[in-house]
Amino acid sequence: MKISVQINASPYQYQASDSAWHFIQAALLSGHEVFRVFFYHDGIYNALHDARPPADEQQIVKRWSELNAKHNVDLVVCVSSAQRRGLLESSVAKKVNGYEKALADGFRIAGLGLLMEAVIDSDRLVTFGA
Amino acid sequence: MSKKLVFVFKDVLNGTIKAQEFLDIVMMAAAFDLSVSLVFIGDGAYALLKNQNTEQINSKNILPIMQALSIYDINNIFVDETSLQERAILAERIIPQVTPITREKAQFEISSADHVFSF
Amino acid sequence: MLHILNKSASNSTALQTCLQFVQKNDAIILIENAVFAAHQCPQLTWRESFGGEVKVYVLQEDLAARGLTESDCLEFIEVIDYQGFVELVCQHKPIKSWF
Repeated sequence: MKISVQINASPYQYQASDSAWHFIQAALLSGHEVFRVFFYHDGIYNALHDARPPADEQQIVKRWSELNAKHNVDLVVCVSSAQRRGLLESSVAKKVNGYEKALADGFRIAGLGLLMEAVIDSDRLVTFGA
Repeated sequence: MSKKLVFVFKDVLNGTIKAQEFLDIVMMAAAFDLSVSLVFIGDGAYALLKNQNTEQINSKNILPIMQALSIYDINNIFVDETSLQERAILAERIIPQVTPITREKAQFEISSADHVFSF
Repeated sequence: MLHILNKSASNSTALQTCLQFVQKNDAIILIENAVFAAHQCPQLTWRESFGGEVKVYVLQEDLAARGLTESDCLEFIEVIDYQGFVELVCQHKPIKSWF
């Protein structure tokens, strides 16, 4: 099956990011295709490049980057949710504060159209939130 | 045949950006020509009260957006009657664009979706 | 239809409202803090009419994280793991998450 996931909650504050990641691991292990993970509302905080949790804690942002690198899962951060919360796409970030890298590796910023595409093209879309 | 999306609102939405961000998805779905229904249940019924004035708390008022959804061809806006009754909300206190439906119809509307967005 | 619950009954009206809307042949899965509803929930009454009509599942990994085991769970609730969760998602449509 082709499965997509939507994440609406911030990491560490809520278990949603962990649950979603474990669900996706299980889906991939079962041979399913994970088409897209769409980060919305406070879910965009899963994509912060500069997250530096202690070594003995879940490396949530890094885990997502690895998921993209290893399995080519498309990680999309909603542009309107991101901008509202101060996470900028690199060209905008560079103009605004001279600092380009706000988004962690493996993520891209795009509009709600990609969420609609995920709904249309996937067999299932599972939402994790709070 | 285009997919049927049902948006279920169960909680109060006032005071946060949630309502705006949820309605953004609703309007994008309409732009993609997907079949869209909104179903308000439980405390979600409170979102439909007329005369919401958010100026004093400096918060965005989503009522104008709700009332204008028909411009996007979104006309299937339902509220669970039982949820209204449980909260003693009379039909005349909610915006006219919403149709009260029975619990059974609400259940059917949700279960017949291809995908359910939950708020 | 599959209903995904993730909040404890004392923290949210999600489970209570879900039980008002669930229908025959639906399935419910309890994850995250909702797994406590599989143990005991004084304020929550699982509907008697469930017997066989609605299957209820609880996520093993979240039970274990909270110090609960299968023997702590109500008899009609089946313990499954994340792979079982994925299977449930594939078997049911639509999927509704309750918060």
